[in-house]
Amino acid sequence: MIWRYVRIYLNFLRFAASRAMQFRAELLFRVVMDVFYYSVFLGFYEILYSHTELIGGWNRAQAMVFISGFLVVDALQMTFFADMYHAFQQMYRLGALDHYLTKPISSWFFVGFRHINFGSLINVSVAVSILIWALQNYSQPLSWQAYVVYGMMIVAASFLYFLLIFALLMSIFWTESTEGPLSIYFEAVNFATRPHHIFHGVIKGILLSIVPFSVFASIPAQALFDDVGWGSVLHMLAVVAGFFLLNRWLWQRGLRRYASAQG
Amino acid sequence: MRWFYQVMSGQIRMRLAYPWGFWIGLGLEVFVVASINWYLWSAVLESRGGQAFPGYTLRILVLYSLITSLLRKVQVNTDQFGGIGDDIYSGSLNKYLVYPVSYFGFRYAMHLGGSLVSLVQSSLALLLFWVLFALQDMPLPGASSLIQFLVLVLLGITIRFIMNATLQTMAFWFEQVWSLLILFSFLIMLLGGQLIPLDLYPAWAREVLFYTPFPILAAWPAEALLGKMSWLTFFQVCGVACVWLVVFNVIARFSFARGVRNYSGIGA
Repeated sequence: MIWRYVRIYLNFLRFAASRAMQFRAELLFRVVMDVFYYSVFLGFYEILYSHTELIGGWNRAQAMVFISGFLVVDALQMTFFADMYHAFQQMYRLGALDHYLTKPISSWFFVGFRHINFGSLINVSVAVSILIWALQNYSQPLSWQAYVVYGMMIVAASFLYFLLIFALLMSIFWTESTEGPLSIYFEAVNFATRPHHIFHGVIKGILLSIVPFSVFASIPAQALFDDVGWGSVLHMLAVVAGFFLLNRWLWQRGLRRYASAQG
Repeated sequence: MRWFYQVMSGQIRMRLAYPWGFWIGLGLEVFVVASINWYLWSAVLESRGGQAFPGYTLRILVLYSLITSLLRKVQVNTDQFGGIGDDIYSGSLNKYLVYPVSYFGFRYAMHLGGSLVSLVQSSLALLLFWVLFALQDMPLPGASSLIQFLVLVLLGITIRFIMNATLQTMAFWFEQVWSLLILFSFLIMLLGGQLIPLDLYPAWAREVLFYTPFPILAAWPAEALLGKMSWLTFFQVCGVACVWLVVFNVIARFSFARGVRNYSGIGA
């Protein structure tokens, strides 16, 4: 069963690779764009740390690991999921979801994982290089298990990023438009670029659970600094599992309301 | 110039026809920007032992962030953001080419109309926030600050338009230009002082950035509104802005003229 899905996914990858090679100039623009995006965050924290030693209890080296981790999460979701955000809305409006519903595999998987931007893999490698640089500047000794678990948490975080957006996108089944929720999301995702220690009270609780922006990069970074902080790992697993189940539930409910635009 | 006024007022009427979406988006943006910056700058000042930056208390830092964020909203009309590129890709440019008016002029009138509505709406939200949140640390701006601010905002709207137009003329040669527009937005965030006041940048960076077009889009109008800009600096900033306006205007028109020669107009 799982191998069947792996095989299908490898086919998605192959198709995405051949498509990416067709538009080389756009690929270059996208790489340059993301490099500037990374520079914004690195520059931002460099300026902040020129005025202070700690922010939310983290020093400069820790903040750089944290923000570099976020950049990897962002690059991964841009590569493996972001093209789907626009495509799903188009599919819904044009009634093209029918095609996906008739296939003998999970339609949620097919819709969610079909659109891959192969060219953005270059950005993943750039972001990972920045993360490696940040980890080298982090002076505290860490076990190899901490690095492995951190890497897995970063991958899980990019999946969580997708789950959160997909849950929002599924509001289209009820509201016929996702522009409002998406614009709010892309404004609010800035919460993910700040360490969770700076937040307090209800906002912090929300950012760690209901709208889990702090789980994208801040919780994985905390797990790393704690040399495998199992509390952080379990927290993340619980949030990812919760949003996975929410996704599946919304998908089932949404499809009951779906009426093909072409039918 | 009657056509310019008609196009602009038409755009204003269109924007005012659906105000609720804007107000909801604006309210959420104010909440997100203010809360993120409140927590961030609180943490920074706390680690400095409560010592504020010269001229910037916690509330002024949050206010600054909000001003620059709203300026972005004023300069970037989402329905106009990639309009020129879309016209080229879809072939809609055909109809504009036969109009007896300049294409850029037509587009600028639309852009200005949308921006003026956003400016009025954003100013109301900013005033409310200022009175409720920041008045104790920063009095409301006086007449000279307001004049400087409005002049710089209008210059910023115009520069943003002409720079975006320059980038979008690349659509004559490339399949996608939106990434160039986003890239430019990132440059403004860092080099324009959108996230952090330029006063907190290293002195050498501030000196270099003074001569670039980026601070006119975020930091300078914000500093003017907060009463931190002398008239001498104001006139220098206006001079730099005018130079960039001319430079980008020449590039945009040259690029457009070359592009139209290659344009086939399929899809209209």
